[in-house]
Formats: sequence, structure tokens, C-alpha cells
Amino acid sequence: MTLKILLFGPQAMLAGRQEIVLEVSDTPVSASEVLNLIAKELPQLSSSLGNSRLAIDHEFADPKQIVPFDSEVALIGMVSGG
Amino acid sequence: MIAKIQVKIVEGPLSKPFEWDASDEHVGAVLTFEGIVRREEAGRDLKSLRYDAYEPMTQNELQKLSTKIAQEFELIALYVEHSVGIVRVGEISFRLTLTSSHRAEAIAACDAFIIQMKETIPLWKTPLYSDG
Repeated sequence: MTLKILLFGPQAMLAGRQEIVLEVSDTPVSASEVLNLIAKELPQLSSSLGNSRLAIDHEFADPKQIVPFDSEVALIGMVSGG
Repeated sequence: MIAKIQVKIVEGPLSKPFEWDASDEHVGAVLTFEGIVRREEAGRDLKSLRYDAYEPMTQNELQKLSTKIAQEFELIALYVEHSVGIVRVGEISFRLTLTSSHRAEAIAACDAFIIQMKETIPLWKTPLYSDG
């Protein structure tokens, strides 16, 4: 199964793209497991992932929450409003 | 008492401020904070900032934060505006207006709102420098 993750701001710049597509072999997959997969795919984001959260369909996900494959998933990190 | 709350995401710099309800006789303090794009960023000459949001999540999370802060500090009203897109040096990108019965609640609420906004709200700024 594949899972598309939207990227924003500095994390998108560090990744050089605004989305990534992860190959997920073990399902179901939790939000925290998706963050680990992102760290493997994009090691340049590793240092920022500790302060990042996943959003599922525009709502922050709890770490143990299962990520549905048909949902819109976004990485929310390194925010800097104001 | 349920506070009046208004959240606006605005394309480009902010202009006219919210008008608070002067007829509300419970209001004893009105506090407005405005964030302005300053000339220097990390020692470099800045031309502008580009703000990006993730809508509708940005608006929804600002609404949740506004409700939380209004309840926690017993505000009468909370109005928040934030820019997306390009905001040049000297222009306003963020405005928070709070009304409360007394000044202490408004001042504390202003600080708490901004701290939490910078930690959680899906908003990102990218500096655009004068020298590229």
C-alpha cells in the first residue's frame, strides 16, 4: 500500500518537494509509525520530527491513531505563525 | 459567558482592524497586538515574508485556540487575523484584539495565545531576502 504525505514550509524545503509517497508494508499503520517511515525516507527531516505531528483529514492525529489509506495526511511541523 | 470570537485568514498584509463592541459595558480593557514584518532576519536584509497556511485546518485550529484562550482567561471577545501570501517589510501580518473586564486577563491571554499559536497552528513563513 502507498500513503501520500503533504509537506509544508521548511520541511518541504528540506525535502525538496511538497509531498512524499511512502510504501507501507505492515498495515494497519499508526501515526507514530508513519513519522518513523518519514524519518527513514527523508533523514534530513529527522531532527524536526520530534516536534511534528501528523494531521489526518485536517485534524491532528494521536500517535497511536491508525492512518486510513484513503485519508488526506499532512506533516505539521516547524510552524512559525505570527 | 461565551466570548465573541472571530478568526480571519487574509491574503496579503492586514489593513483595517476589527472594531470592538463599544456598547458592551462589561469591557474594561481592549488590547491589540500587531505583528509587523521587520527589516532584518537572521542578520540579513529582508524584503518580505511569505506565509503559507493549510486550509481549512489553519482556520479550524485558530478557532479552537481562540475558544480555549477565551475560556481560560474569561475574555469578552477575541478577534484574530493572520496573513497568507506575501507581506512586505513594515506591513502587518498578524493582529490579535482582546477585550476583557480587566487588563491583567487581556495581557496574559495575548501572550498565551501567541506562544501557543507559534507551537501548534499550521502556518509557515519563508523569508525573502533583498539580495536573493
